[in-house]
Amino acid sequence: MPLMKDKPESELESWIDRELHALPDLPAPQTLAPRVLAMIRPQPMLSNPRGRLMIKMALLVLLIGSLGWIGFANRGAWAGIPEVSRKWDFWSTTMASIWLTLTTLVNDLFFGLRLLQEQGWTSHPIMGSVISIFLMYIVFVSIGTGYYHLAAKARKTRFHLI
Amino acid sequence: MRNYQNMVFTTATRLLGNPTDAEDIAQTVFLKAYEHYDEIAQSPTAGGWLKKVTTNLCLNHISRYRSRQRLFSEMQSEEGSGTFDIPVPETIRENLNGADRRQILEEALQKLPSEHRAPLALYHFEDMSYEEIAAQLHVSLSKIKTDIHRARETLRRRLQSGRKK
Repeated sequence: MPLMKDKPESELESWIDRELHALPDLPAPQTLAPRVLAMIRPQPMLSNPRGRLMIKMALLVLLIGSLGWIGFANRGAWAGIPEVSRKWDFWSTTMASIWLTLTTLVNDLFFGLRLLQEQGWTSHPIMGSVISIFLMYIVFVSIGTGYYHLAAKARKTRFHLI
Repeated sequence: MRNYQNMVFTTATRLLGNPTDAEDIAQTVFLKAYEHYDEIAQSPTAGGWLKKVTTNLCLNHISRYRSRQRLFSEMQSEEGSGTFDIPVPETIRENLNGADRRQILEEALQKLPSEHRAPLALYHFEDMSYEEIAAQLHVSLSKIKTDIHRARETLRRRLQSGRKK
């Protein structure tokens, strides 16, 4: 190979380019794959979108089913809610106002449903399921989504290297 | 990951010149790939995506530690009186074959000062223009051209000194 000292820059560029492109890829260290796998394994369910969806759907079905069964099979509980609320009110004086507000809202809701039912507009299982779906989706799925976002953020913070 | 780990590691090593830092970068790249797995798993451009992410992370790394690297490169250039000279073992000066030449070139590339190696790697390996490199590294166009020229000269001298005798 002749000396390139006096060759113009373009020939030097071409020569270096050929030499560099002839270089093979360097073998990655054996520790790379284990390091990556160790970082992604701790939370497989939360990091898998399909896993998160399956958990949400399973929880939703379970909760709807259980509450629907409770609401349908224990109609007497509807009438017992005011009694329970009075007892809670007596027991937790510091939370009285909050509990009173919540129970009032729930009582009003059930009262409204009973009125509708008496007028023949609704039936126990249907309205019970609808209310269960609405309330439980708001409460549990929101909690699950919030937990997932917190966990994902914590994972990203832990995995963030640069 | 198995298909692309060599490519990612090589890209990072040639930009950073440090296998340890390159491995950290490669780990981050594959973690990002895991987060975007649904998007790139079946994509034919997965390799290009990985290379692009690797390059961007390396450039961020270089920018972040530029002041530290500038100090080290100044220390190295002081030792070489303004030129970068890599000693060649006597045993490999004779009968330099392709494998030896590639090894010398690879080592010379990694030992280049960061301000010379990164622009050279971006130009020859990433096919970026001088203007794009200057914009990425936030330096002037003339400096990029000078740094790349010096890097080529260093590699040329290194390869030629390895062929003597």
